[in-house]
Amino acid sequence: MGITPLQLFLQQLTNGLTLGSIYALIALGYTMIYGVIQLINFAHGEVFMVGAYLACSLLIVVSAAIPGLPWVVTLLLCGLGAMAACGLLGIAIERAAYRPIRQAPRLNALITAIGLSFLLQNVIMLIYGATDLQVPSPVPMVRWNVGGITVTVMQLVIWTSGAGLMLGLHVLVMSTRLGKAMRATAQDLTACALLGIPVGRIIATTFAIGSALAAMGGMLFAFHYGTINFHDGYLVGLKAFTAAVLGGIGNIPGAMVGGLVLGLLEGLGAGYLSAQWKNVFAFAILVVLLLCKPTGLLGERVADRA
Amino acid sequence: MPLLEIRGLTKRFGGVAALEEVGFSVQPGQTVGLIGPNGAGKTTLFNCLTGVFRPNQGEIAFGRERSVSLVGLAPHQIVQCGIARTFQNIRLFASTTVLENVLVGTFTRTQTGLWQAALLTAGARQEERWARERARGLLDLVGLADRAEETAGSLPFGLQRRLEIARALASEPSLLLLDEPAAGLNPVEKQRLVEFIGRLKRQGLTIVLIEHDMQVVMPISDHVFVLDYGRVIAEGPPGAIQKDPRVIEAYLGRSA
Amino acid sequence: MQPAVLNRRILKWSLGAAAALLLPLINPNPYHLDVLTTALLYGLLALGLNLIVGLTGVLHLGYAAFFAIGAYTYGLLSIRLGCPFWLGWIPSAAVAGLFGVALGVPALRVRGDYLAIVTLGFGEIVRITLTNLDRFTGGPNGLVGIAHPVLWTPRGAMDFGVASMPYYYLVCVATALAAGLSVRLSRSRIGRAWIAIREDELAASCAGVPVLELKLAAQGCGGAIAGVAGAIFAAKQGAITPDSFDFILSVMVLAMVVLGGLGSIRGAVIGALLLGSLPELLRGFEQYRMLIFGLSMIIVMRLRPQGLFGGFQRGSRNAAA
Repeated sequence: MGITPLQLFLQQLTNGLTLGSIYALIALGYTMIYGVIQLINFAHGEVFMVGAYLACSLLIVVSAAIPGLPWVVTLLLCGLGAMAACGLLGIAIERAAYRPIRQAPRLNALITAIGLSFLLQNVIMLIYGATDLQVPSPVPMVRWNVGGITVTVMQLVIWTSGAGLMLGLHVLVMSTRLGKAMRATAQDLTACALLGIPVGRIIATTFAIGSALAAMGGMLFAFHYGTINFHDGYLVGLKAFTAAVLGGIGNIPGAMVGGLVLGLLEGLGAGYLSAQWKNVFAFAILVVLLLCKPTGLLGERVADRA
Repeated sequence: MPLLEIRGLTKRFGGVAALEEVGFSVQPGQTVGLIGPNGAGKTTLFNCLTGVFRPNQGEIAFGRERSVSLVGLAPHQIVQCGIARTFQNIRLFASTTVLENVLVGTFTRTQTGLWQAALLTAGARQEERWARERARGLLDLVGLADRAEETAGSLPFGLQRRLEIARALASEPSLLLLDEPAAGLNPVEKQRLVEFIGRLKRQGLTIVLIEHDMQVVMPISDHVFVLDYGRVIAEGPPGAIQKDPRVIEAYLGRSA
Repeated sequence: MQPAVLNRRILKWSLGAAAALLLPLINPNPYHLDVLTTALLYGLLALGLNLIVGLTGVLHLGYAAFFAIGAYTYGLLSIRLGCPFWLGWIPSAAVAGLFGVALGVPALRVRGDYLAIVTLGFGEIVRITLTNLDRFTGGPNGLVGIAHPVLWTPRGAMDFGVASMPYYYLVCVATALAAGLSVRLSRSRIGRAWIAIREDELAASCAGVPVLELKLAAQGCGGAIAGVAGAIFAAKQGAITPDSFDFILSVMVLAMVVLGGLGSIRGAVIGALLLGSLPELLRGFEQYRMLIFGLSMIIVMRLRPQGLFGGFQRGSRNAAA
């Protein structure tokens, strides 16, 4: 008995939701950073990629050091490790590359961002090699058949961790003092600085959180697809950026929505379009979006300019 | 016939009306002062006039013999019609020379295109000579002739203001819009500014001037409009305006 | 300009030109010539991009697309129609220039940062499309059998073939012409307007500069120059594949313009000579290519944002609202 069109559709939907969760995690970083300092952090995609590679390395280390650990714990360790490391990486990037040129024209910041992206890609390539890295997954390869649609444990992991992190972020931004400070800084940085809010630290924290989320996205991506390449950051990064703009740049719920929507679009597209044209499709969405509706679905939240 | 006629001009940003039903007219050769508390909408009015903003409602008619509607035109097209402006926060081309700043102002009065420039035709060379002569003449007028090759960004503040005016004059405008030209100048510089505007006036230039300093506005204006919260609350000769209770209240009430 | 200054300048240029012309005769090492030729070709590209990014201030991340279009145009004309190089470079320049304008039209209403991404998107779309249109462009294997330039001399036809020297002279001439053109344009009414747009778009507009049209003109000129470079590249290689025209190339050319100094013409050429000969000089260090380009951009922006020869850099200015 073959697969019905409805089942194909729902399967692509499921796959799309999975991919979308990953995009959402990365898109959040883009959107938060653009929200506070109005910069497209070109290097963010590379942070995702670094997170993926680090998670793989951690997996090897953890499996060797403490064999027989339940996979959930292994996953948690790798995830937290990657998140922490990339959080620090994010802070380092902000401090070393972007902060010193805050007063310079925007062109300079963009050029620096691109340079940084290249640098990180090359460093990873030198450490791990230029070919695809095969990733063993700690998650059991169990799959269930739900009404003709295949759902794997990995997908469940992605959905739950994605949802959990996004919920956590939402609570952080909406209910904590830090969150309020972040929102205020995104609204009007100068005013906040004058009011004594430590904007430097807020910006660094924003970078740290965004990078950590991207790292988690990287780990999930690596374990889900089984291979990663140093060039993945560029492609996935651009797609996640598309998602951020789709939801409205600077708008945190927007990034979540944008990620899911883009994932769905790509999932459906992959089912019905040839693989060759898949990337053109993605770039075309990006271009059309920026040309026609740059404010996105939920509207952007960018600082007021005098 | 007025050189500039504005009727019912309204400009909203989101829910806030920066300008509400503004009516305003300027006769040829007049110097008109535009005053009002901060945030009254004066610069917004200039921005609507020069095509930077598109008004939500209203008409802007400009022209000596025939009047042209300015609504919907791009800024460079409005310069072509004969209106030039300066900015409240000076906007010069900082990394080019003083002379080059003024030369940019001659763009609308010259025609050398890409091909002529690339081939350096006789016409191109001639036009370049004309433009440079004109620019030097303007630098002479504002007293910057000896600084022609200096970088614009390195000029002291007062001279930067003069450079901006020279650049505006380079497009041979019939209407000159000055946005707070006296801001940041010391009393001596202000006096020289007043004299300078007087000279432009005597050459027949029509001028609209946004200013906070009454010592600058009142002596040179023929007519004054007062804006508050986006509306014209009073207009008339300077003497009358200074005594108008509504004007005094607008300033005193807002100065808190 | 005073006669003394003018004479000194003519002397400098003459010496430089003489050195460039005599070089292959003094050191006929074909490998060295090849490296220099490649670097000079990058110089040609950098000059073109300099018009867009350097003079006009439009950050373009898809410049490789115009290089590709120029190469494929001449390649297809040569293979399908037997068009000789000396004619073929003209449509290459024209088609690439037209694409520069066409891709620029929708993009110009977009604000600065997004414009950069849009140009990136267009660049990738062009490259992937060239890879996928198998029947038309030869797909991932590209085009083969592109004719080399043939020079008619009194001693008969001389096919450039794979010799190094003729291409060196060809690229020297092309780059010198492009440099001369850039200098002329930058000193003209158009060039001044471009620089004004870069400095402060709003003020330029209010001073009478038609910003949109001039940005398109810059992209058209820059595209056309890349088109010429593409034709030369295709003629020299004899075969081209879409892989040569990727985002990395766009960024490399950008790095060269940035290093030289945005807007500086000699800076673009020198930046290209420095960064363009690096991959060859560092044979065996090929894997460090991206690292070097990335690092150079970060360092330049941090320590000397005006590059080697660029002008005065002032503080942040939100030109366009």
